[in-house]
Amino acid sequence: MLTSPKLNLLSLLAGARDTLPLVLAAVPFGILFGALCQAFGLPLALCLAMSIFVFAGSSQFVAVNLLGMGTPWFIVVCATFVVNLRHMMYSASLMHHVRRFTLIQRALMAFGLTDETFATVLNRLNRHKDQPFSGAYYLGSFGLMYSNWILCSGVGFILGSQLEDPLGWGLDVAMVVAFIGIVSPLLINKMMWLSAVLSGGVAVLTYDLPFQMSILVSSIIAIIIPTWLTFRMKNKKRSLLQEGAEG
Amino acid sequence: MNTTTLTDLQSVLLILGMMVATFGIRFLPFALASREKLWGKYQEFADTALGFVPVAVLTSIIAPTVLIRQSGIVSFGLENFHLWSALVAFGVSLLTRNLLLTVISGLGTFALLTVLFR
Repeated sequence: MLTSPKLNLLSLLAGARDTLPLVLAAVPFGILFGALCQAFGLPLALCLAMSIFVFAGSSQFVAVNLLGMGTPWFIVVCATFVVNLRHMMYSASLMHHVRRFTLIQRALMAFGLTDETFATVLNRLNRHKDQPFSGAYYLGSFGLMYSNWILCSGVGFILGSQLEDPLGWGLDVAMVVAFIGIVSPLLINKMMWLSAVLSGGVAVLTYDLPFQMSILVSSIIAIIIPTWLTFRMKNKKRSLLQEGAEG
Repeated sequence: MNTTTLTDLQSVLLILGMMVATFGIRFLPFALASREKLWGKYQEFADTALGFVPVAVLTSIIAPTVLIRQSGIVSFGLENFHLWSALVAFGVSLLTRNLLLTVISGLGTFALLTVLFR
C-alpha cells in the first residue's frame, strides 16, 4: 500500500476518536450485562468469554436473560442468530468497500462489525467521498469498542449488585444523538425521508416482538418500499421518454 | 438468584454456537465481496436497496429508544428527556451537519433538563 505507517496510525486514532460518543453510550450496557450475568449465577469466565468471542451487545443481553430462565444452550444460539441478522445488511452494504482487502482482513473486520462501528465508518465514507475506505480507521473504531466492551462486562460483573440501574445514568442518550447526527445528513431526498419515517414508525409499533425482531422487520419494510417506489418512478420516466421519442 | 447451571461442555458449546452465529452473519457478505456483479441482473436493484440500509436500520434503533422509555409505553411527555434531547440534536444536525456539535447539543440538552427538572 502507498500510505505510510504514520498515516495509518493517524487513521487508527481518528477511528477511535470518532467512535467515542458511541463507546461512552455502550458503557452502561456493558456494565449492566456483567451485572446481569452475576445476578443470574453465570460464572465470570462465561461472561467474559461471551464479550471476547461473541462481541454482540444486544444478543448477549437476550442470551443472558434466556439462560436466567433456564433455556437450553442451543435455543440461545438460535436466538443469537435472529437478533444479529441485521448485521448482514450492514456487511452487505459495505461489500464494495472491502473488496480490496484480503479474506483474513475481511474476517477481522466482520468480527468487529457492530452497530457503532458500522455507523462511524459509514459516516466517514459519506463525509469524505474523495478518500478511500480506510482499514486502519475501521480497526481504530473496532478496537476501542471491543476493549471497552470487555472491560465494562468485567467491571459490571464485579461491582454487580452494588450498582443502581446503569441505564438510569442516561448515557444511552449519547448513542441516540450520535446516530441522529449520522442519519440526518443522509436524508437527501424524499425516498430517504420515507425510509426513515417508515422505519421509525414500524419499529415503535412492533416494539413488543421477541428477539428484537422489530428492528429487522421495520428495516426490511423501510428498505423494500422506497426501493420499489424508486424503480417504479424510474420505469415511468423511461416509458415517457420512449413515448416522446416515438411521438 | 442462582438459577443458571450449565456444564463446562454446555458452556463451551454455547460460546462456540453464539460465535459462529454472530460471525457467520457478519462475514458472509464480506466473504462474497470479491465477486464482481454478485447480484447479476438485479445489481441495480440491490445497490438501490443497500443504499437505504443505514437510514432504515439506524432509525429503527433510534425511534424506540427515544419514544419508548418504560415497558412498552410511547411517551411524548415533558418528562421524556430523551425525546427533547433527540429533537434538539436533530435540529442542530439538519442546520450544521456537524456530528460533534450534534452530540454536544444533545448531551447538553439532556444534562440541562436533568439538572433543572429532576
